[in-house]
Amino acid sequence: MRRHSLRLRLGLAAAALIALALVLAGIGLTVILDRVLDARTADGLDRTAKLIAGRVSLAPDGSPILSREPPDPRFATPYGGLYWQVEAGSHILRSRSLWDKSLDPDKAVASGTVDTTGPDGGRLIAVVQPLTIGPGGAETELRVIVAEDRRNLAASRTTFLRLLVPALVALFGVLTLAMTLFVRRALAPFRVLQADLLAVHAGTRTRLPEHFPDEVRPLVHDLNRLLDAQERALVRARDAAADMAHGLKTPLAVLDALARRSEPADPALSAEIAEQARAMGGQVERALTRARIAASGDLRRRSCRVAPVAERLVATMCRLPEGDSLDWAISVPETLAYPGEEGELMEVLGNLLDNARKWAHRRVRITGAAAGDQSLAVEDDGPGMSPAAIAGIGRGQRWDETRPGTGFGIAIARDVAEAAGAQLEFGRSALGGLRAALRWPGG
Amino acid sequence: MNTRRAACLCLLGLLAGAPASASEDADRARQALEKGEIRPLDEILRAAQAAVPGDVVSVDLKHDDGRWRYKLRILGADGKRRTVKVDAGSAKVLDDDDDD
Repeated sequence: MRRHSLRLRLGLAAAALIALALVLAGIGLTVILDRVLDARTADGLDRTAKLIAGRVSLAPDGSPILSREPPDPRFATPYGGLYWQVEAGSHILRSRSLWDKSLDPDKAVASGTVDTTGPDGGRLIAVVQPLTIGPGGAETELRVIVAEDRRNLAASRTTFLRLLVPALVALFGVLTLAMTLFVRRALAPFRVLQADLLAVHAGTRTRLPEHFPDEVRPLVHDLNRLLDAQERALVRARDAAADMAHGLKTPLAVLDALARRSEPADPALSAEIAEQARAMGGQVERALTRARIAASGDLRRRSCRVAPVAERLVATMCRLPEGDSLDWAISVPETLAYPGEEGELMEVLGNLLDNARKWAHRRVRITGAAAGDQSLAVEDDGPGMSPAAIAGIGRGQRWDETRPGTGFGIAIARDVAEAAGAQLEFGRSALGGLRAALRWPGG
Repeated sequence: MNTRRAACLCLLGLLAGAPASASEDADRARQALEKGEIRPLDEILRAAQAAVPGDVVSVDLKHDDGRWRYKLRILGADGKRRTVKVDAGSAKVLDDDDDD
């Protein structure tokens, strides 16, 4: 996907937000887990403290004694991770697990949960339970402390994280996939619009369909209005060109007639007038073609298949003088398409074929190539052209005054071809004569 | 109240899970209850906690002079431990002194 793809950007933004949300969720869940673990541990310690509180009594010397110790084996294992301690003033009774140390939580905490340091330096979570025993008047204040090593909790936390992280990663994958599909679905109208625009470019469609969601419809509507306006302008330009051509045809015919009439009196002047009239006709035709081509350079890139046009033109050429005696060879792939309207191709190829017809001795060859850059060449076995003459074609210059009607045709063909994005090149043919080759980008 | 009751019963479970002698008094209590000589423990606990609010931290069933008596230790919210004696046959609180 390209860097400026909306889909890519939306997808990345969604993925980033999902990742952020899941990271926050992971942190939140870990905090909640820590709280729950603390609360659960404190609850268990509190029960043990109450169990001890129910069993503790005082010896005659005032030291606390326990009728039975709490059953957990960790209380009996030195540094076992679970500890209890009963304080009665200076007399202290401890679990065996404390071994050579004591619990010493903050004295300010009279009751509740507190953090303290264990015998082996580890962090402990401790529950302090104050206790008053003895008959009224002879009461003794005691303190029961039960504590558990936080490393026991850390093991539960590690187990939780080992499950949580893959779960969140999997969730990220699923959500990102869902968002990708969502974005794809949301941008679907633009893909359809793109395909429809391509169809308009290719000429298989003149307008865009209007069945788009409300958000896209104004754009489609405006594009359609633009297409319609172009179509109208094109029609107007063609009409104007046709009107002008018809308007000039009669005066030029009159001029030609006048030239012929004055031939007996002054052959030189008559020939000159006829020549100038013909030149005017050529220039007018060229100018009109240019105007028409310019007007059709719109959004739509039309295309037409070359082979049928070539066959039709050759059939026409065979009916013209000198045409039937020539050997016309057509070798054009069926898939070859010219990037313009059929009329334009008729104009270009017609001029080239007509030129070949006039100059060829016996053979004219039409070849096409549809692979990569596409091309269409017209070759003849006539006298060919000098490089200087070839250079003159671009300027609309005639290169032979002995054959009427030549020169302008080639120049018009070049104008029309260039308007469609094709190059017209001239060179020497293997047949011996001129090779006129049209070349345009493939695809 | 329910959670506290549950906590109490758990604590009692802990008590019962202790040495063999504890199981013996539990066996005695079950047999007495089956014979109809005592009320169930939940009634006893309800009556004791109504008289002295707090967590029951010790349960002791005694048989003297032909009567079953429960001796309960209840730890109040103030940390004071009180002994409550309840007649096991009638679930009546006999005595709630400060402690033994």
